[in-house]
Amino acid sequence: MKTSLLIFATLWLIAPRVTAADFPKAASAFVEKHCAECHDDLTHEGDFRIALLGADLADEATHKRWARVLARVQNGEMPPATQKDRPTSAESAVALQALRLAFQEQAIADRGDGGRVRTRRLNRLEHENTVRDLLGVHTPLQDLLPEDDLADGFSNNTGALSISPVHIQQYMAAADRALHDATVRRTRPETKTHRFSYNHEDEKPFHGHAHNQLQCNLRGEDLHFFLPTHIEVPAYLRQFEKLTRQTPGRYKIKITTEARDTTNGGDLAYSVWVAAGGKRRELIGYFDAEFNKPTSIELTRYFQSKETIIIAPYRMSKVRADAGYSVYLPDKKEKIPKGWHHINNPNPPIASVGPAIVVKPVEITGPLFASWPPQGHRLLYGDAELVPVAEVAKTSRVTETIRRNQLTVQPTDDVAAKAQLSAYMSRAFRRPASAEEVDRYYGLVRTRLDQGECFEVAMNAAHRAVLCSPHFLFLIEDKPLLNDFELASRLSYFLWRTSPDATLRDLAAKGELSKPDVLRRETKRLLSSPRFEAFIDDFLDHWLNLREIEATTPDRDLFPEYFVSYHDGRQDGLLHKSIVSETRAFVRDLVARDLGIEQLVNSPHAFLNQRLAEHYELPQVKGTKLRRVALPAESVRGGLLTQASILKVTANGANTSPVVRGVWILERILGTPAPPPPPNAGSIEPDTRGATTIREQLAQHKTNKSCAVCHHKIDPPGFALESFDPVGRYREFYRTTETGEKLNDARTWYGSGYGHVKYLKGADVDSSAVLPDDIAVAGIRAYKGILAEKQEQIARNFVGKLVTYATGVHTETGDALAIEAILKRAESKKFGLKTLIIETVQSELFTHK
Amino acid sequence: MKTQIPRRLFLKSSGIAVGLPLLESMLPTSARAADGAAPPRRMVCIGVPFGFDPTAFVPLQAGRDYELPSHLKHLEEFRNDFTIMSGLSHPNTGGGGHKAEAVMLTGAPYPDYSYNLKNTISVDQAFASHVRGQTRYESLCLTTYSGSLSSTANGVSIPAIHRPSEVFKKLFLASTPAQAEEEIRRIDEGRSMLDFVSEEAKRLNTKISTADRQRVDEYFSSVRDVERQLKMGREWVNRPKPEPIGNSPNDVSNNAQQAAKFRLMVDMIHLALVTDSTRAISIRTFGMHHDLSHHGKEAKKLEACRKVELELIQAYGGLLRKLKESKEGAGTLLDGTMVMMMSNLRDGNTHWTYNLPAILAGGGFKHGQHLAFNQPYLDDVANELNPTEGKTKAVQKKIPSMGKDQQPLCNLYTSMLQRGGVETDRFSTATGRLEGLDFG
Repeated sequence: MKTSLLIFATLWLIAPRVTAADFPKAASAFVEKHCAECHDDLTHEGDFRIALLGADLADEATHKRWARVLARVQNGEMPPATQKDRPTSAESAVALQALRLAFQEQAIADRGDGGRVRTRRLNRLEHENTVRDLLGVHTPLQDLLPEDDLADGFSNNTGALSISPVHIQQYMAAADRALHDATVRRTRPETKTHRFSYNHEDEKPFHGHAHNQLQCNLRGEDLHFFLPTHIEVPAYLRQFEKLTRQTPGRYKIKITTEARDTTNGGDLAYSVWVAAGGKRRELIGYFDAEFNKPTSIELTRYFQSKETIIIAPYRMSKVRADAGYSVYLPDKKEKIPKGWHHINNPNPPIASVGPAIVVKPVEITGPLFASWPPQGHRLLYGDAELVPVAEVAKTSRVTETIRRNQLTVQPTDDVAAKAQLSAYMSRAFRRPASAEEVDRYYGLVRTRLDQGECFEVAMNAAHRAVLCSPHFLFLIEDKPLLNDFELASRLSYFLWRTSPDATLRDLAAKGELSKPDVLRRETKRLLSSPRFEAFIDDFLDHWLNLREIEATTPDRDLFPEYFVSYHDGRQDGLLHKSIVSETRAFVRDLVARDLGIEQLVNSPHAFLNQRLAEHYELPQVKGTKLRRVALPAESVRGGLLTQASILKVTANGANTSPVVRGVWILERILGTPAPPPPPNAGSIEPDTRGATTIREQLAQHKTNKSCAVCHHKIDPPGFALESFDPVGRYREFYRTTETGEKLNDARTWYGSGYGHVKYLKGADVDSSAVLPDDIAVAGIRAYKGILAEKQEQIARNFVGKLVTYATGVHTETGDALAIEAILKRAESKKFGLKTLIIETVQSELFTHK
Repeated sequence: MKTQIPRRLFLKSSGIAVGLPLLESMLPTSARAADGAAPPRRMVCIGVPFGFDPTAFVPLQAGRDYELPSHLKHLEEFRNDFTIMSGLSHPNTGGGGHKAEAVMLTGAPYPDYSYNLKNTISVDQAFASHVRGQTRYESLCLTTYSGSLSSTANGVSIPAIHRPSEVFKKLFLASTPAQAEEEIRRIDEGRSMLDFVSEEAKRLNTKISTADRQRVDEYFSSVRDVERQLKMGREWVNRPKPEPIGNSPNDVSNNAQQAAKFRLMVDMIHLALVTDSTRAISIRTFGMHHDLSHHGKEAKKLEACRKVELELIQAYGGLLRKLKESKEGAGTLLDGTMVMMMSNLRDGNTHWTYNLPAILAGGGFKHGQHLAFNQPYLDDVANELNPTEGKTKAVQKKIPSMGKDQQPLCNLYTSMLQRGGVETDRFSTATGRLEGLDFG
């Protein structure tokens, strides 16, 4: 009964109407009519024979064969474009729909009541986020746990999320740390605003360092950067470190800077880092120091104990050299004194003229609290005031840890304590905890109270058990149709990567979330929140493989552009960060504006800042901030494929492989992954000395028939991308190190000056390609044009990835009907990305287990 | 039974300032062989991700009278203490590339890059679970950069320790009676909590569908396992740790300095074994020269890459030396310790996952030979070293066929497990013991 309703619900939107009974009639008739010419018993091209198709989808081999028919016809690969008598789209639609319907029926029969999704645990990211939101703590927990495996490209996939004793041990450790951080045992720390100047005594180790005196100096309260600071002695704000050592917490930081004496009146850039122990820990971002105009940035974030910030000038040596100043000396007219560069030189020359970044005293306000005791503490122990430890010690045993403080939690009676525990459990389990459950967990508290333990210790026994309980650690979905609480969790973990917020919880409690219009409204709310950033980061990391952005380091000799310093191999941090930010900003914008999916591969705009525009050789853009820029008509950029992040993760740092890039496109954009190479597939040892081009090396893929079967699809898109090197620059020739022409005029920046490039001019790049069906493309622009026509196929793949990510299980042929329904609903919006997400959430693939 | 001499007292009275070599009587009793009994078996597995340049690592001749290739010349003094092997690999990992690092010690299939890996137990953990309870630590998983070689029975990667000082602390830092009491309280708290949540899991399983139970079952058995570990750990709390040998090491924080980091870890491995704090150790190391390993045969890069490899070989020799200089029973610590080093790639440039480099020292095997399982490979390497006329082209990939010109690496692991006293005919993808590798 339920089944037929479901099918009906999906189907009524789609014309023409067909039923499952039409299969095999409709599908078989189609195949007989359009495929027989090449796939009858005589010719059976590609080892495919209609006669062997079969009709019983319960049979595995039959299932597989028809799935192949569905995929190839659906994507327009078959019948081939070269065939004369091609089916009309209405004809195909009927056959395909009959097939999808039959597949769905089969899937429903196979799956039974278990649905398509299995109970799975939170992965590392979800676990950390959930604990953070539950207890209001910023305890880093991800690194405590083993790294999650990937299944189908995603780390939140049921198949990858096994549980081991290591997990249990670490969940216990994580619970202890988080509970410790959430519990306060003091009066509210005073929130103050500090003004930290670099001329303070505490900062002397930095500006007093001989080497740094050359690179920056103090003018009153201001710090003037003339050159990059020494890598080991960065401008580390020690006064702030002192503060966080006493009170870790949220702080608002206001940094004021100004650029001075730049020859062309240009702005300069600097980076801000979280640091600890004198070392950089995490990049906060790059910002602009504007010419002759003091400007401020404000950052609010949580600082762990002993954390502080580092402010570092960006590419100052190059700025200085370009302005005609020596990078060794403050004044271009002076000669270099002997031995100046030794770090121990007691009298280094002091920089005084030339471009500089001026850093004014840093204003820091904090620690900031929304309430005291903080939200997490109140959820654990209630709103009661803290009481002196001595008082509690009169009636119960007090542990060493608690005794070290003045205050502790005020004991309450059983009724109040149980109510508090119930509230905490309901939040942690993401559904109302039953009275019986609360009694069980409260049993842990009662036992310890009876043993004479103090209230805080007794309550924490239950708190800890909750954080280690399967109800907390697992996403449990019970019945085939999700209840409101399960739906709230699914939506929230999907788009915010964490547990539901108060609004979602309320709607679930009222039983309203499952109403389609409410669900739609909530999806839109989550999409337009800044917290949607969590989806953008994590989903793109997996879908596009941006998580591998650090996997390779570009070759310094071949791609010096990627480095600020050749000598110590320091990468250009702004460029490195910008290439990933570009892709994220690009997709975020497509979602926000609900632009058609065609733009994913072929857009008239790109997100650029000054450094990226330079990297892509596009007209100048000012500043470090990414913004949407309309591309020149003839530009090769626009769309994912020509973004440096993608080009970098599909290369190995030294050279590019059309195969790797082709596989990436087929798998991640077109949704037609190539089968793995046969076990006896040949390959050759990489040889980058420059004697042969990659095209020559891959010639066998064409001539050898068993290679050509797959590689005629894999290689061509990769060839079209050969115009882009491993760091995403456009190229007309290969750079080599051994065989090639010397480039006498090419110079590059080496960190302290310009010099001859170390690479040679190798063979010219040939980015022409012949796609299946003999479609010749001259290069990337032509290929993108072809790709843009496949918007429906790209949208189908995108929805498949969304469903996999949202539910933790990959889609199967049995889900094709539901996916098609999502596409139908988004078609009028040109498959807008936002519409696709909203309709995916509306789909039974999302609302059912 | 002999009494143990407190080492500090001994050092004071003999006026010796340096810690080594250890005298046998200073070792904890369990580490010493009872009269006549065989010393305990131990296992050290070293995994490196980018292989070795075959022309420097693979001997051209098989058998006992092989000529040491350039890398192994640095291990000449141990020639009869190790066996070098060629022609070994994990079947069905052809397309795994770097990702197949995860299966270095497990042999689980990794047929292609996007494969959904289901990892299995690593050889060190299989051994560790066999000697469980005999030492304070069941195993030590170490790294000098990131990640770990070891995985649990259900294939979950075990986090590795990357600071030598932390190992030192684990080995020697004694707790006060108050701390010990606190520790016992913590363990008991933990056990009671685990007991509670395992009941929760049981209850949950009666409510959910059969298909959903798999992961909850996994949770349940993991909780049980940790309970067992805590119970065992409780027994060790009141047993004193050995007296510290030397001072806590100064950690090297720069990951680029793999050789320095590895040498410090070698010291810690030696200390862990000499004090019998554990019997099973794995370490993942030398994983920072990825760009050099893609040398593309460019002379300059190839040379730099070989230099890095050599540092590793020398540090490996350093470990063998330390173990050989430590007496145990009638022999040396090396006699009881299998020290195996391997990689998941033949070398970084080819990215090929067969003909993997593997070397095994100590542990009571008959050593001193090159066990070659793929003669054509040796010919290729020979040709690479001395190219014959007209054959300067890149080596073509010839996929060896398992059982013919290739043997499963897990055959070696099976031999090691058997030597360690584990009753097994085949570990993972093994077909049996490694042919030609006999017990001494």
